[in-house]
Amino acid sequence: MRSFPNPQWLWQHRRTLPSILSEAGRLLSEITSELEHRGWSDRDIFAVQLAVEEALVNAIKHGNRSDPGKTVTVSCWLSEDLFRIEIEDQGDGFDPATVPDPTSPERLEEPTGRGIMLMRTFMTKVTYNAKGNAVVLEKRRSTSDQ
Amino acid sequence: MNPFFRHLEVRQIPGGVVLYCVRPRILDNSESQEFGEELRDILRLFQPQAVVFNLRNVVFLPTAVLSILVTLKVRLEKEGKSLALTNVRPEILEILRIAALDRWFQIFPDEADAVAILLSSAAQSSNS
Repeated sequence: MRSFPNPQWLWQHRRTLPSILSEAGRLLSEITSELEHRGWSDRDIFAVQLAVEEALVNAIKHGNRSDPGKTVTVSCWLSEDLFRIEIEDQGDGFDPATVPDPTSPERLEEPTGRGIMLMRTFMTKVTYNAKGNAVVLEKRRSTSDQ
Repeated sequence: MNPFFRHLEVRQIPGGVVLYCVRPRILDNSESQEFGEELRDILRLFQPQAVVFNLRNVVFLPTAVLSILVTLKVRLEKEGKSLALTNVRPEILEILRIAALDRWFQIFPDEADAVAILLSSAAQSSNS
Protein backbone atom coordinates (compact mmCIF):
# COMPACT_ATOMS: atom_id res chain seq x y z
CA MET A 1 0.00 0.00 0.00
CA ARG A 2 1.30 3.44 -0.87
CA SER A 3 0.28 6.78 0.48
CA PHE A 4 1.19 9.98 -1.25
CA PRO A 5 2.25 12.71 1.12
CA ASN A 6 0.66 15.99 0.22
CA PRO A 7 2.88 19.08 0.11
CA GLN A 8 0.41 20.78 2.43
CA TRP A 9 1.15 18.42 5.27
CA LEU A 10 2.05 20.39 8.38
CA TRP A 11 3.43 17.41 10.29
CA GLN A 12 4.76 14.06 9.18
CA HIS A 13 6.09 11.25 11.27
CA ARG A 14 7.33 7.75 10.57
CA ARG A 15 8.32 5.18 13.14
CA THR A 16 8.92 1.49 13.50
CA LEU A 17 7.53 0.13 16.75
CA PRO A 18 8.35 -3.11 18.51
CA SER A 19 5.32 -5.29 19.21
CA ILE A 20 4.86 -3.81 22.67
CA LEU A 21 1.65 -2.03 23.59
CA SER A 22 3.30 0.54 25.85
CA GLU A 23 5.20 1.79 22.78
CA ALA A 24 1.87 2.28 21.06
CA GLY A 25 0.76 4.38 24.03
CA ARG A 26 3.75 6.69 23.67
CA LEU A 27 3.10 7.21 19.97
CA LEU A 28 -0.55 7.89 20.66
CA SER A 29 0.39 10.59 23.18
CA GLU A 30 2.58 12.29 20.55
CA ILE A 31 -0.24 12.25 18.00
CA THR A 32 -2.68 13.65 20.55
CA SER A 33 -0.27 16.44 21.47
CA GLU A 34 0.13 17.37 17.81
CA LEU A 35 -3.63 17.51 17.26
CA GLU A 36 -4.08 19.60 20.41
CA HIS A 37 -1.30 21.92 19.28
CA ARG A 38 -3.12 22.43 15.95
CA GLY A 39 -6.37 23.25 17.74
CA TRP A 40 -8.37 20.13 16.80
CA SER A 41 -11.54 19.68 18.84
CA ASP A 42 -11.75 17.32 21.82
CA ARG A 43 -14.31 15.27 19.92
CA ASP A 44 -12.03 14.78 16.92
CA ILE A 45 -9.06 13.98 19.13
CA PHE A 46 -11.14 11.41 21.03
CA ALA A 47 -12.09 9.79 17.71
CA VAL A 48 -8.49 9.66 16.49
CA GLN A 49 -7.24 8.29 19.82
CA LEU A 50 -9.83 5.57 19.89
CA ALA A 51 -9.35 4.47 16.28
CA VAL A 52 -5.54 4.64 16.26
CA GLU A 53 -5.33 2.74 19.51
CA GLU A 54 -7.58 -0.01 18.19
CA ALA A 55 -5.55 -0.24 14.98
CA LEU A 56 -2.23 -0.38 16.86
CA VAL A 57 -3.53 -3.00 19.26
CA ASN A 58 -4.82 -5.05 16.33
CA ALA A 59 -1.45 -4.80 14.58
CA ILE A 60 0.53 -5.80 17.68
CA LYS A 61 -1.78 -8.42 19.19
CA HIS A 62 -3.56 -9.95 16.21
CA GLY A 63 -1.18 -9.11 13.34
CA ASN A 64 2.19 -9.72 14.97
CA ARG A 65 0.75 -11.86 17.78
CA SER A 66 2.92 -9.84 20.20
CA ASP A 67 6.01 -11.47 18.69
CA PRO A 68 8.99 -9.39 19.93
CA GLY A 69 10.83 -10.21 16.70
CA LYS A 70 8.20 -8.44 14.59
CA THR A 71 7.60 -4.73 14.21
CA VAL A 72 4.82 -2.33 13.28
CA THR A 73 5.57 0.47 10.82
CA VAL A 74 3.59 3.65 11.37
CA SER A 75 3.46 6.70 9.12
CA CYS A 76 1.38 9.76 10.03
CA TRP A 77 0.51 12.94 8.18
CA LEU A 78 -1.36 15.96 9.44
CA SER A 79 -2.62 18.88 7.40
CA GLU A 80 -4.85 21.75 8.48
CA ASP A 81 -7.97 19.63 8.11
CA LEU A 82 -6.90 16.01 7.63
CA PHE A 83 -5.15 13.43 9.79
CA ARG A 84 -3.91 10.26 8.10
CA ILE A 85 -2.11 7.29 9.57
CA GLU A 86 -0.85 4.12 7.93
CA ILE A 87 -0.16 1.14 10.19
CA GLU A 88 1.46 -1.99 8.80
CA ASP A 89 2.27 -5.15 10.73
CA GLN A 90 4.34 -8.18 9.75
CA GLY A 91 1.58 -10.70 10.20
CA ASP A 92 -0.29 -12.83 7.67
CA GLY A 93 -3.11 -10.33 7.28
CA PHE A 94 -6.84 -10.96 7.35
CA ASP A 95 -9.96 -10.22 5.37
CA PRO A 96 -11.91 -7.49 7.19
CA ALA A 97 -15.04 -8.46 5.22
CA THR A 98 -15.16 -11.74 7.13
CA VAL A 99 -15.33 -10.10 10.55
CA PRO A 100 -18.87 -10.67 11.84
CA ASP A 101 -21.12 -7.80 12.86
CA PRO A 102 -20.56 -7.41 16.62
CA THR A 103 -23.90 -5.61 17.05
CA SER A 104 -25.97 -8.58 15.91
CA PRO A 105 -28.02 -9.93 18.84
CA GLU A 106 -26.28 -13.32 18.83
CA ARG A 107 -22.88 -11.65 19.14
CA LEU A 108 -23.56 -9.04 21.82
CA GLU A 109 -22.22 -11.30 24.57
CA GLU A 110 -19.00 -11.97 22.67
CA PRO A 111 -16.14 -10.16 24.42
CA THR A 112 -14.20 -9.29 21.25
CA GLY A 113 -14.66 -8.09 17.67
CA ARG A 114 -15.70 -4.45 18.11
CA GLY A 115 -12.47 -2.64 17.25
CA ILE A 116 -12.88 -2.46 13.46
CA MET A 117 -16.48 -1.28 13.76
CA LEU A 118 -15.44 1.50 16.15
CA MET A 119 -12.62 2.55 13.81
CA ARG A 120 -15.03 2.76 10.88
CA THR A 121 -17.52 4.75 12.95
CA PHE A 122 -15.13 7.29 14.38
CA MET A 123 -12.93 7.86 11.33
CA THR A 124 -13.81 9.40 7.97
CA LYS A 125 -12.19 6.59 5.99
CA VAL A 126 -10.69 3.21 6.84
CA THR A 127 -8.93 1.23 4.08
CA TYR A 128 -7.12 -2.11 4.30
CA ASN A 129 -4.60 -3.36 1.77
CA ALA A 130 -5.30 -6.57 -0.16
CA LYS A 131 -3.29 -8.73 2.23
CA GLY A 132 -5.00 -7.22 5.27
CA ASN A 133 -1.83 -6.44 7.20
CA ALA A 134 -1.92 -2.67 6.66
CA VAL A 135 -4.61 -0.12 7.30
CA VAL A 136 -4.93 3.56 6.46
CA LEU A 137 -7.13 5.64 8.75
CA GLU A 138 -8.21 9.15 7.83
CA LYS A 139 -10.01 11.72 9.92
CA ARG A 140 -11.33 14.90 8.36
CA ARG A 141 -11.39 17.77 10.84
CA SER A 142 -14.94 18.61 11.93
CA THR A 143 -16.30 22.00 11.07
CA SER A 144 -17.61 24.13 13.92
CA ASP A 145 -21.25 23.22 13.20
CA GLN A 146 -20.66 19.44 13.26
CA MET B 1 -12.53 2.76 49.96
CA ASN B 2 -10.26 -0.26 49.66
CA PRO B 3 -6.60 0.68 49.16
CA PHE B 4 -5.38 -2.72 47.99
CA PHE B 5 -6.21 -2.52 44.33
CA ARG B 6 -4.24 -0.60 41.72
CA HIS B 7 -6.96 0.03 39.17
CA LEU B 8 -10.15 -0.09 41.19
CA GLU B 9 -11.52 1.38 44.36
CA VAL B 10 -14.18 -0.64 46.11
CA ARG B 11 -17.05 0.62 48.27
CA GLN B 12 -18.94 -2.10 50.02
CA ILE B 13 -22.70 -1.82 50.22
CA PRO B 14 -25.08 -4.36 51.76
CA GLY B 15 -25.11 -7.28 49.32
CA GLY B 16 -22.83 -5.73 46.79
CA VAL B 17 -20.01 -3.43 45.82
CA VAL B 18 -19.60 -0.16 44.02
CA LEU B 19 -16.46 0.00 41.88
CA TYR B 20 -14.62 3.12 40.75
CA CYS B 21 -11.79 3.23 38.22
CA VAL B 22 -8.78 4.92 39.76
CA ARG B 23 -7.35 6.12 36.46
CA PRO B 24 -9.19 7.64 33.53
CA ARG B 25 -7.77 5.35 30.88
CA ILE B 26 -6.21 1.94 30.55
CA LEU B 27 -4.27 1.37 27.37
CA ASP B 28 -1.57 -1.15 27.88
CA ASN B 29 -2.54 -4.77 27.43
CA SER B 30 -0.82 -5.84 30.64
CA GLU B 31 -2.79 -3.15 32.45
CA SER B 32 -6.07 -4.36 31.03
CA GLN B 33 -5.08 -7.88 32.15
CA GLU B 34 -4.38 -6.54 35.63
CA PHE B 35 -7.70 -4.74 35.55
CA GLY B 36 -9.46 -8.02 34.75
CA GLU B 37 -7.54 -9.87 37.44
CA GLU B 38 -8.48 -7.24 40.02
CA LEU B 39 -12.12 -7.62 39.07
CA ARG B 40 -11.91 -11.38 39.54
CA ASP B 41 -10.20 -10.88 42.93
CA ILE B 42 -12.91 -8.46 44.01
CA LEU B 43 -15.67 -10.90 43.05
CA ARG B 44 -13.93 -13.69 44.96
CA LEU B 45 -13.22 -11.52 47.99
CA PHE B 46 -16.55 -9.73 48.38
CA GLN B 47 -18.94 -12.27 46.78
CA PRO B 48 -21.29 -9.47 45.73
CA GLN B 49 -24.84 -10.13 44.58
CA ALA B 50 -24.80 -6.81 42.79
CA VAL B 51 -21.97 -4.85 41.20
CA VAL B 52 -22.37 -1.17 40.42
CA PHE B 53 -19.60 0.14 38.20
CA ASN B 54 -19.29 3.91 38.54
CA LEU B 55 -17.54 5.16 35.40
CA ARG B 56 -17.34 8.81 36.47
CA ASN B 57 -13.54 8.85 36.07
CA VAL B 58 -13.43 6.99 32.79
CA VAL B 59 -12.72 9.23 29.82
CA PHE B 60 -11.53 6.52 27.46
CA LEU B 61 -12.73 2.97 26.96
CA PRO B 62 -10.64 0.75 24.69
CA THR B 63 -12.28 -2.43 23.49
CA ALA B 64 -9.93 -4.46 25.71
CA VAL B 65 -11.68 -3.00 28.76
CA LEU B 66 -15.09 -3.14 27.12
CA SER B 67 -14.47 -6.86 26.62
CA ILE B 68 -13.78 -7.25 30.32
CA LEU B 69 -17.05 -5.51 31.21
CA VAL B 70 -18.99 -7.72 28.78
CA THR B 71 -17.39 -10.84 30.25
CA LEU B 72 -18.13 -9.59 33.78
CA LYS B 73 -21.81 -9.09 33.04
CA VAL B 74 -22.17 -12.50 31.37
CA ARG B 75 -20.44 -14.17 34.30
CA LEU B 76 -22.49 -12.38 36.97
CA GLU B 77 -25.79 -13.10 35.25
CA LYS B 78 -24.93 -16.79 34.91
CA GLU B 79 -24.57 -16.79 38.69
CA GLY B 80 -27.88 -14.95 39.16
CA LYS B 81 -26.11 -11.71 40.04
CA SER B 82 -26.32 -8.32 38.41
CA LEU B 83 -24.19 -5.50 37.06
CA ALA B 84 -25.07 -1.88 36.43
CA LEU B 85 -23.06 1.02 35.05
CA THR B 86 -23.50 4.56 36.31
CA ASN B 87 -22.16 8.04 35.68
CA VAL B 88 -21.22 7.16 32.12
CA ARG B 89 -19.79 10.13 30.24
CA PRO B 90 -21.40 11.00 26.90
CA GLU B 91 -18.37 9.94 24.87
CA ILE B 92 -18.28 6.55 26.59
CA LEU B 93 -22.03 6.19 26.16
CA GLU B 94 -21.52 6.81 22.46
CA ILE B 95 -19.09 3.90 22.28
CA LEU B 96 -21.62 1.68 24.06
CA ARG B 97 -24.37 2.88 21.71
CA ILE B 98 -22.30 2.16 18.59
CA ALA B 99 -21.54 -1.31 19.94
CA ALA B 100 -25.28 -1.80 20.63
CA LEU B 101 -24.43 -2.31 24.29
CA ASP B 102 -26.20 0.77 25.65
CA ARG B 103 -29.38 -1.26 26.16
CA TRP B 104 -27.64 -4.53 26.89
CA PHE B 105 -25.96 -3.07 29.97
CA GLN B 106 -28.14 -1.63 32.71
CA ILE B 107 -27.07 2.01 32.77
CA PHE B 108 -28.19 4.54 35.37
CA PRO B 109 -27.35 8.23 35.44
CA ASP B 110 -26.94 8.16 39.19
CA GLU B 111 -25.08 5.75 41.48
CA ALA B 112 -27.70 5.90 44.25
CA ASP B 113 -30.46 4.84 41.83
CA ALA B 114 -28.37 1.96 40.53
CA VAL B 115 -27.58 0.74 44.03
CA ALA B 116 -31.23 0.96 45.14
CA ILE B 117 -32.59 -0.89 42.10
CA LEU B 118 -29.95 -3.61 42.00
CA LEU B 119 -30.18 -4.32 45.71
CA SER B 120 -33.94 -4.36 45.58
CA SER B 121 -33.93 -6.91 42.74
CA ALA B 122 -31.24 -8.94 44.51
CA ALA B 123 -33.42 -9.03 47.66
CA GLN B 124 -36.45 -10.12 45.62
CA SER B 125 -34.57 -12.96 43.94
CA SER B 126 -33.17 -14.20 47.26
CA ASN B 127 -36.71 -14.18 48.77
CA SER B 128 -38.28 -16.03 45.85
